[in-house]
Amino acid sequence: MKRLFAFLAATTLGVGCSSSSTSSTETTESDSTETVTLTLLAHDSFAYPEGIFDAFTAQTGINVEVVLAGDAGELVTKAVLTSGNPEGDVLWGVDNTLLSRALEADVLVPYASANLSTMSRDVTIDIPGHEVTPVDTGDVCINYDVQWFDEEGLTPPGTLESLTNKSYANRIVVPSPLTSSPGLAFLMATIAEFGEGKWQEFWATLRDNGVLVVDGWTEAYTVEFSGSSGNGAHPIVVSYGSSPPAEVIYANPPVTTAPTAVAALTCFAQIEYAGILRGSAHVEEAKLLIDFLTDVAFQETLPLSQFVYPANGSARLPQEFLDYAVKPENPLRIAPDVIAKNRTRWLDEWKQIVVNS
Amino acid sequence: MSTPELNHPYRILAWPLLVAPMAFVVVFAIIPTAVLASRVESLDVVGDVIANRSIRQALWFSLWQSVLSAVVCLTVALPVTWVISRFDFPGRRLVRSLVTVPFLLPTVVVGVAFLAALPNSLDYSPVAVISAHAYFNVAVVVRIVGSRWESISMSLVPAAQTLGASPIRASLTITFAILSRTLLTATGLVALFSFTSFGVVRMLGGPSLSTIETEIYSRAVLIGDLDGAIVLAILQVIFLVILGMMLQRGASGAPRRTERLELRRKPLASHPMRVIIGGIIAVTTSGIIAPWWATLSRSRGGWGFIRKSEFRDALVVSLRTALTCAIVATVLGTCSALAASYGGKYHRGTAKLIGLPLTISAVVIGFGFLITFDEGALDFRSSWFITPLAHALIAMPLATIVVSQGARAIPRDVSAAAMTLGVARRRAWMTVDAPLLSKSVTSAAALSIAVSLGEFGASSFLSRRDSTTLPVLIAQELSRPGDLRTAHAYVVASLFIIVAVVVILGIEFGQGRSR
Repeated sequence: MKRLFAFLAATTLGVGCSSSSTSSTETTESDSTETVTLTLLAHDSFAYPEGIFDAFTAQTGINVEVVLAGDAGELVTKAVLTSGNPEGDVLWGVDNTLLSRALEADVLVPYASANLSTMSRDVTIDIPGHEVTPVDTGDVCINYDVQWFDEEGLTPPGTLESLTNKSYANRIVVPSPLTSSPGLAFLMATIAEFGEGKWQEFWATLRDNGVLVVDGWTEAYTVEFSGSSGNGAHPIVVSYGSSPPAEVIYANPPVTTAPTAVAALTCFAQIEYAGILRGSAHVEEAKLLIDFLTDVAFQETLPLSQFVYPANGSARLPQEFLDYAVKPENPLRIAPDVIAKNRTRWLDEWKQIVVNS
Repeated sequence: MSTPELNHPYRILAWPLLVAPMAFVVVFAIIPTAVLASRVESLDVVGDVIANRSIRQALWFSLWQSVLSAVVCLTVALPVTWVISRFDFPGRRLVRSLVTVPFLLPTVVVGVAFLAALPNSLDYSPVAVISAHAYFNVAVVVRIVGSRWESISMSLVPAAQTLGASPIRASLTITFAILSRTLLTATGLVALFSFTSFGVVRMLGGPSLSTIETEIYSRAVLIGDLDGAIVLAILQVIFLVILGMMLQRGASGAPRRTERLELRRKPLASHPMRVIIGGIIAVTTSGIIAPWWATLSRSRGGWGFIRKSEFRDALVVSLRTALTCAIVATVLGTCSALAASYGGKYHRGTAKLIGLPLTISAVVIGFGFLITFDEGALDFRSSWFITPLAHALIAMPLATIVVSQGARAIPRDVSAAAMTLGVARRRAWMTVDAPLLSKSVTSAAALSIAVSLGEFGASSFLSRRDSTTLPVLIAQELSRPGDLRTAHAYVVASLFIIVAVVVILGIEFGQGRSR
């Protein structure tokens, strides 16, 4: 009897012991030996070709370990929570709609990478203090199902204003800005387009025109949208400027023309940044990693692994992007500090107009 | 209690048995929550939270949808539970395995399958949310009520009939009297799971329906009002604990031990009975399987994905996580179940703390771990084993309940008698208790594996170093554009279902032919 419980207790404790011993050996290894391992803390959409960091390790002798920390919102929340004692050394994936939260909480160590000189002013303008470094850009835009508009003989939407057109009644699906980052970007697009005091009216009209609001991009694009896998009933959806090339590259079965297209005048610019987390024991090494992440070699992998545009202006784009993606000339923008000041109020107002009425 | 309770022969072990499970709850649930709570700077937030209209709406929706989900789930699950636990027929264990599978399906998969299957008018409505909750939790009723129902003696009903009760009245009265406590436990659990449900509500409820759990998420993550989120999470714990205590009170007074060892299931004899039972099985299993077909049919063209390293890694991670979780949860759950069974009311009262993690929001567990286990040797916030430990928090209460059901059915007088006859205590335990317990311990392990394989809430809030599980991989593939990506997600989901069926069948049939 006693032996059995001794065994049970040993198993329980054993789990605890073996766990803590693994972690302590890991810590001592990274602290005491020559090889530094940097932890790159990224959002779930972070993807990269296998072995891409081998070149960095070969150049610098530094290892890179990727830790995924949830979606962009969770990533920032975690960085704020662990301010000063971060989970990793370098953060990847805070975007311009969330940037203010990271800046206010002072979680980042400023660093001006030499690669900033390759980037356009549009990309670097929001971060004069260099707390973060731009790594990629993308656009949240209205996408539509090309075949549906051909068959119905209707003109696809060109502008945000045109979405209130009666012929699009019950044909539009959008992810909620309360729960989705492309949803939030789309709300920003409407605020940038119509301005304070006017955007509310646009959303009220959109609501009366039967816009379907769903929780996230996944439900909107893969279930309710008619142009992708879900064959839903809505030919107009909020997605990315790079969704059409994704439809071609990941078509099933393969296709030669994109089944979807983008309304270029509806796009809101999203910029993603990387930064060094305050409290990292390896700030100097982390700077080398920021350089590597913004170098041409890594930047050129971004379009096909994450469907975003490189921030580095010298990086070349793959053919599929040149053929099918839309990179608007002048996407809609709102400065991060304006977003920071108004986000909660905007979301409340939006909720009252669209959800609670 | 009207009659003084006899001390259990193993009572002396009750406190030692409680040490490990209690330590686990304190270290991995209470401390992280407290550390997070200590971040709240001003208590003014409490007033703001209580006064907030959308929070009150969320509370109201959480309440009524969870009650309704539990009622619908019981209605759907009880007929098949009756069939499985009272009758012997070929394929009985197959049916029992099949109805367990929905419990371990990732919410993303069921969410998308339900959106595709339900008529459009019901999408993003309470109906969609409630039916998905019922679908997920059928296994909870079948496993928990079933293991109790099985242990009701077949001779009780005829005995009542000889005393003059009509056959139907005899079965209903007796069965209900004996099952009432277990039914309440199962109802409470389903209601609790539905109350704290996150993925289903977000996907199927759309933006206009929110529960306390989704409010906590959007406050913490999207609005950046962490204080408000923490206060709300703690209010949720208090509210659910009070509700749980009220339920417990209602459940007390029901008989605890009534069983004798004997053949418990009867073979199917009469023709009308076969038709009824066949009908119940057909309706239930087809309802259970329908979303699987939807999933399989959407996986077409994506099967090349299983040769990719992404998939293989996630498979290995999921299996490793599930096994680790099952070992921790089953061992700790068995300890606390035995402690509650051997001990008196203080032990049982303490053992109830095991259920506390179920009331804590996944967001709080995720963020609490992050700022608690962050120093020196204890800095394991993004280690691989943090995920199975988080899963074990959720699985352990269930394992405890399942083993408790089994432990209750052990007649204590048999071991007491054996000991009076001079059999050593350990031998008495090994010969009487252990074989009777082994079945419920195996069930508990199966349930823990199931919880871990399908868990998506806490795992998605924990940071992951090489620890992407299959449900997280599905969500990742679904969150990227392109038909093939979506097909990949459904391939994983289909395999997930297949693996789940195989694992559950393996456990079910691996228990030996004797039962």
